[in-house]
Amino acid sequence: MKRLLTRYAETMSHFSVFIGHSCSILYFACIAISALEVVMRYGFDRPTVWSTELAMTLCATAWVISVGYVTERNRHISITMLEMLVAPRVWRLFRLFQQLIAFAAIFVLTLALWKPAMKVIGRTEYTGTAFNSIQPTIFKVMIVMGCILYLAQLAANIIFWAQEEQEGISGGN
Amino acid sequence: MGIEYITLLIVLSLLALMALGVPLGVTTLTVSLVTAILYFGVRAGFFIVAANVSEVLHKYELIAVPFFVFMANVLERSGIAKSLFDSMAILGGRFRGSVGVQTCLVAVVLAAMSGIMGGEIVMLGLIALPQMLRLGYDKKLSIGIICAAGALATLIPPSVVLIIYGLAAQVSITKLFAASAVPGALLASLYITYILVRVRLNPSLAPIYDIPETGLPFLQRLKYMKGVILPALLIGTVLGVIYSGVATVTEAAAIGAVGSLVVAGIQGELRWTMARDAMRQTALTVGSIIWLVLGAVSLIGIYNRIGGGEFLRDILIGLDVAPLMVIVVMMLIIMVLGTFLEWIAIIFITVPIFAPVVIDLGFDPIWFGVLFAMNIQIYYLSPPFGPACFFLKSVAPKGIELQDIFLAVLPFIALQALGLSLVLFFPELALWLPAKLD
Repeated sequence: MKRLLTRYAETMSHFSVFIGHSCSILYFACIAISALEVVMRYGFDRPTVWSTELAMTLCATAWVISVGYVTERNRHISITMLEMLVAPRVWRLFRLFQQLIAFAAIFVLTLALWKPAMKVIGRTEYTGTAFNSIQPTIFKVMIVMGCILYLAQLAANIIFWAQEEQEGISGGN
Repeated sequence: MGIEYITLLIVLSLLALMALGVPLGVTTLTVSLVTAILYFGVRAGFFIVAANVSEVLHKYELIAVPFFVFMANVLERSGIAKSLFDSMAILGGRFRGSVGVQTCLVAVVLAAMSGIMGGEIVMLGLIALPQMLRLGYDKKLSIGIICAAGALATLIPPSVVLIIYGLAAQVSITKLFAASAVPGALLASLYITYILVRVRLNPSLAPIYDIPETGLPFLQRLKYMKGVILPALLIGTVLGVIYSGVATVTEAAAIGAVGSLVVAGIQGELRWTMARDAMRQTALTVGSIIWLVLGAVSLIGIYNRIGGGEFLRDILIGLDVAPLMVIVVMMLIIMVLGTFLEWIAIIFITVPIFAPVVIDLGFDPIWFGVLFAMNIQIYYLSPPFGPACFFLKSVAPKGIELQDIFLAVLPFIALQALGLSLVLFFPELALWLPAKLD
């Protein structure tokens, strides 16, 4: 069981990093699309109908699904003042508490977002613009996927935390 | 239960979770979920939270943030700060305090190219601080200059703080960028004046040093303009297209990001690994910001629905003081929140409540946005959490402790408060340029 959990935590962390690195390329695509729109509009007097929606969709997708990468690297913004004031062992317990609270909050958020996501999968929503893309559908599904990735990476972090306990390692993962 | 008790419970819950080290995005999200479920029930509560959270992704202006962050990351890696600093040192000439003044000017130029603060302080900490210490500059003066000047990135356009404020207050980001230009220059001028006055009164703080090129006549020194031309072109392009209305802020940010790659190419620093690392760093930075925004938007959405916004607005408007004093009270609240909250959370928690009050009192929300950004400058430097101090500590040479940095920034915090007061009592300082551009 222990090996299985370790395997899961390591695989999930690699997957989160892979997704995060892939998402970073989406930002580059957004930049290229937005710059192209300016060139098309002012250079050729041929503005596109798709660039804004496409850039927004790629950017929002990158935002929400890079959450596993951010969690794996422990880069969420938090105040860690107590770390300097309490004993390392107490801080370790705080770290577990932080991850459990995060897990519970994101789990409830996933439940809240689940129904709207299922609804748009059953009946696709469109923007109603000239491009009329399925952006609202993508957003609602992607944010649920982001939450699931967040939960999966938090579970991996909790496994790493428990392993530290057994191996007597202190400090962050 | 009355709204005053709910407000108190929300504040206490936020403080408790934050103190325990729970990520700020999760903290605000947790409190908003619990409030929504307790107040509206599971079904309606879920619906409201889902609607609030999904709304964030539809904000087009928000995608300017990763573009400006990417631009800053590329510039940080392209060596442009070093060549800019060297060129400024030669162009500026030889006078007492010159390196301190040049550091301020370089910081202004970098601020106009990046929009985020951390990278700029790291760059200045790596380039300017060792140079000043090597030349015998006073340690505290040098540290203070780097932290204060480096933090200007959040005020001088294009600033990410102003973009987020514009979204929260629903005001024109272009006008905010125009309004913050003069106050940004004002703060930089105050820093430069302070440096020149201090080194004049106490010459041992900044010995005069010799670089052979600084002895050349000014016209001959102009050939060292190379390091200044590229940044000037990039700034001119980005701000030019915004102010002229040619492109939206988001498109201008994209142009800036492409421009930063061109600059890196001209500098001979454009490599796949550099661009890749800049993109990955962007994903990490923006990925952490977005969950903070989601949590804060969710919380303020719920709080407004239960009447909290109206409750706080009534308190502020009902204060038995002059309208300007209400603004001062708001500034004090932001300062207090800044001692323990991240700036994005402060924006999303305070601005939706403060902005309507500012308008009701007859003030311009653009002017208030500039005051807000100037207040954030103070937050960046203020102990015990001033992020600028921690950024500098991460790259400072051995022997520079956090308490040295905290002491060194105190005079500059006073200058920031002076700058804030000037814009508070003379709103034209901020509103003059947007009016001209109109």
